[in-house]
Amino acid sequence: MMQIRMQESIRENGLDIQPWDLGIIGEPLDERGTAAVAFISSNSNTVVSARYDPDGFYIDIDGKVRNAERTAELLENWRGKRIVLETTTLGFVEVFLCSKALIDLKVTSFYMVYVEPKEYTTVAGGRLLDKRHFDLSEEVPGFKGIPGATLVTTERTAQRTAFFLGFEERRLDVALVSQGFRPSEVAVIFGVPAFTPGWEMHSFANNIRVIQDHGLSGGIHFCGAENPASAYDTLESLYDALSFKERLIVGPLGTKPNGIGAALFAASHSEVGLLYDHPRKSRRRTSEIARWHIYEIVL
Amino acid sequence: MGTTLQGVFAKNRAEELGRDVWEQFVVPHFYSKLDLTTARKPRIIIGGRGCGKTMLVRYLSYETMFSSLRHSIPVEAIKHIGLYWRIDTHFMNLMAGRGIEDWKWHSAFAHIAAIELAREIMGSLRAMSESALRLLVKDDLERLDLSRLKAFDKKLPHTFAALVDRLETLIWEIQSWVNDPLKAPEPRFLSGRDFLGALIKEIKRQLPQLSEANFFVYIDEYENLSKYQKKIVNTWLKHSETPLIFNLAMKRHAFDTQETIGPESLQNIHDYRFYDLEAEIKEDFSLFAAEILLLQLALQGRTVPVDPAVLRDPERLSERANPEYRASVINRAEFLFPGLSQTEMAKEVFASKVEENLRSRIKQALAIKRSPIDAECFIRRNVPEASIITPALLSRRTLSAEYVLDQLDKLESGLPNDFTGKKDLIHNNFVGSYLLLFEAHSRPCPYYAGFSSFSQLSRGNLRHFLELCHQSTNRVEDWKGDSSVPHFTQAEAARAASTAFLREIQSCGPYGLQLHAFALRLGSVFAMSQRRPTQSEPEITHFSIGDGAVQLQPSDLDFLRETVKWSVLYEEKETKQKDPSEPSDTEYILDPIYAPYFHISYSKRRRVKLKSDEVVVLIRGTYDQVRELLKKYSSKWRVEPRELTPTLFSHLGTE
Repeated sequence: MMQIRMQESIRENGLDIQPWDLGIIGEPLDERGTAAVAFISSNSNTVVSARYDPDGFYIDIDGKVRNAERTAELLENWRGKRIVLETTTLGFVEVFLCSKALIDLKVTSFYMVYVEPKEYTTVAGGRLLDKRHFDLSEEVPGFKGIPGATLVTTERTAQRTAFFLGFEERRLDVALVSQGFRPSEVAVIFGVPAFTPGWEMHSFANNIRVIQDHGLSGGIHFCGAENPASAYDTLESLYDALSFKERLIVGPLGTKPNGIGAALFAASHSEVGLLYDHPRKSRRRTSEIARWHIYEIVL
Repeated sequence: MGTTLQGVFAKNRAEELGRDVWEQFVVPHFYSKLDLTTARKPRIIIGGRGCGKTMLVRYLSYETMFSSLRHSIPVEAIKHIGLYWRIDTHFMNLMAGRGIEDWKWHSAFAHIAAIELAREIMGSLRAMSESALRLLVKDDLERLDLSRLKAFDKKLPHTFAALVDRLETLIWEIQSWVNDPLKAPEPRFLSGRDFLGALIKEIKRQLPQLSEANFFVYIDEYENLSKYQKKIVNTWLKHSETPLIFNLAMKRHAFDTQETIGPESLQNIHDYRFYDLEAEIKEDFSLFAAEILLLQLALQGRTVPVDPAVLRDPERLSERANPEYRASVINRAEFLFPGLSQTEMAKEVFASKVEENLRSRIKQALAIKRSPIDAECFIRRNVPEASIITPALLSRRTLSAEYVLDQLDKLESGLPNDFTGKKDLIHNNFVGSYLLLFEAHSRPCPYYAGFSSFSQLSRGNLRHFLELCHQSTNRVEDWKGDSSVPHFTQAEAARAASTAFLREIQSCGPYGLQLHAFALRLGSVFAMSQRRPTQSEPEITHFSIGDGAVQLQPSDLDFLRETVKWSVLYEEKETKQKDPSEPSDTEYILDPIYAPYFHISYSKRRRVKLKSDEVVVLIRGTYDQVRELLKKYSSKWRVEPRELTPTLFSHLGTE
């Protein structure tokens, strides 16, 4: 039975930690990412970076490349060591693949660090038009399967899909248009309470059009935006409610802590599918730091 | 009259209706052109979002054809048993590279097709046995002995029920293998077309009542396949023959390879027939849209001039071509969604606050001309349409205030004049001048209201049409389907729907965000043109591309194709060439559904010829380059910054 123990602090030195043997980091894109990487570097004996390529379906950890489903091969030498994933800078897929690898390697515990932003520079709650919309935007790769967690989705297959939602309703819209789910089988999960009171309204306002437009009627759920355990529990309750032959597909389009809950759930339930669109995060998308979080995953 | 019908038009996506669309389907008027009962060639159905492509192929599929809602089914139905296969992009694109040889992925793709389509075939038999067709009964299926299929895979069971279960297991097996092909056991791949052919042969051999059965596979969203998968599907298409014919449905510009896995490519007419759904549906869209609208009301028990049984029956299409029927259907749609005539729109200006705007524009134009004539002389309530266009005429350097006044006098006195005479000033200037009186961000403009406007705003897109109806009726408290929606409510709904659809462009494929930025940039140019005081070139809603300092790159042309693929733009061959020496060119028309947002005309009237470097800026220029381009046009068209719509241009600033 997996346990997620959480601690948080407004300052990094307020966290109660022991040094780690291995810290796995991603590319820092903003102030909090830089701070998080510095924190891992000063508290880990070895620091390596990890990057997943959604086009080639491979993962690169410290310059060593393997098919994504072979991630465990890159981490097996660290079995029995204290490992931390820096999830502010790692993408969702890296978090999922590393978590799955560590679970498959039967480690007893590992850690995650997440630094919550104070401001999102790109939150456009309800505001229809601003300079950002006229500016050039990056290409969105779109939904592509993740090795080890991709199910065949047809209208013939009994399934339920649960999407964690964030600010960008476009992501949900693309998922629904591209996959053609039955609206009655799609549930949505909002991050409430949000990181900051009021932010949940951005998420509601932005997503409501898509929810209405597609006639989604599979249920609305809530779990704390900064709480991976709550996300995990929400998925568990949906999973437990599945009928015979039904499968669960999870779309982690919400906050990173919700994504962590989804990654851990999918990593520990091989029959659960993931649906993800691999967005390329823009630089300086957030400013300042609100809180530091440590999640200890006990297996 | 019964309950409220506010949500009656809310379901406007085929996906929301499920696989059996019998109840909701209206046979399109061009249906007989599809030649379904006799043609034996594959069909390629193309069309943009919302034109009813998926709805059509779902109608053709067995779940609708053998629907439990049908009380009688002709025996000929077995000559066209539709099998629907929507590509699961998310899973399919996992099937490439990853250290696995290409040929193995090719076999795996054919294997999945064999399983999915075999499940469809089995499903069609079951649906037939449970339908009103009375050709098959459950016992027939239970007696089937499919043991000869073991030639393809020894583990395949011989009974109907067991094979259905086994096919599902095979999906699970291939799913495991694709997720971890180096570790999971490799399935024994079924050869796609051969396996299906053998299955059909066995069924026909043992069920002679199906000896004339033909299976038509409809592969939806072909554009989502990778290139090697397209080549495999193309091969099946090329070698299609009864009783198994492959057909495709896709967006425009998606048929990007005609290659097969053999040496021969696909050839139009020889190997397949193209059907452009948008072109067909545009033919008489108003009638078709009105029928779909009224079907929803009929299904709710309202008395309307359509009969659902007739709408669903291809054999009764001729009844719907009757001019009296046509008039009654259109009239009812116009009753529910009444619009204003040009004269009514003009008259209404004088009964509202908009009159003050008209007066102020006339005063402004007279002041620039330094004319001493009183503005009130140009406001004539008994010739309202002419009054509406006077600010534009007075803003033109070539026309004197005295000339405009003289023409107004002549018009009022019933004498020959330029407003209605050869120059036809009212016809040429009314819409642009009328739009200019409304601020896009405040009062809704009645120009966008009415069934006729909704039809034109939709331009063959049924989803857009139904959303306009939904947004309108949803704003009327307790709407029961028997009363007219006020035109201001409709205009407000059109603006809301337009805004939502504009925002939705962001969801259009991998270039969605760039497409959205492009639509905003282009719409801003058109909106700025619309604010020209002179209205000398009113109603610009499309563009062509001329020479410029920077040439379009292949990637720019790909991007333009992407805009057409996602129906942000429509392309047509240039119709009016001002300079006959210039070669024929392509015109790009902004989807009219965005017109209410940008507060521009929805008619295709005039175009602007953009230089290639300007198009490059719209496609991939920096924000500052776009701002410079808009400022250049603002100066060229003499549009004052205060004239510009705040919501659209506030980001430009005044520096």
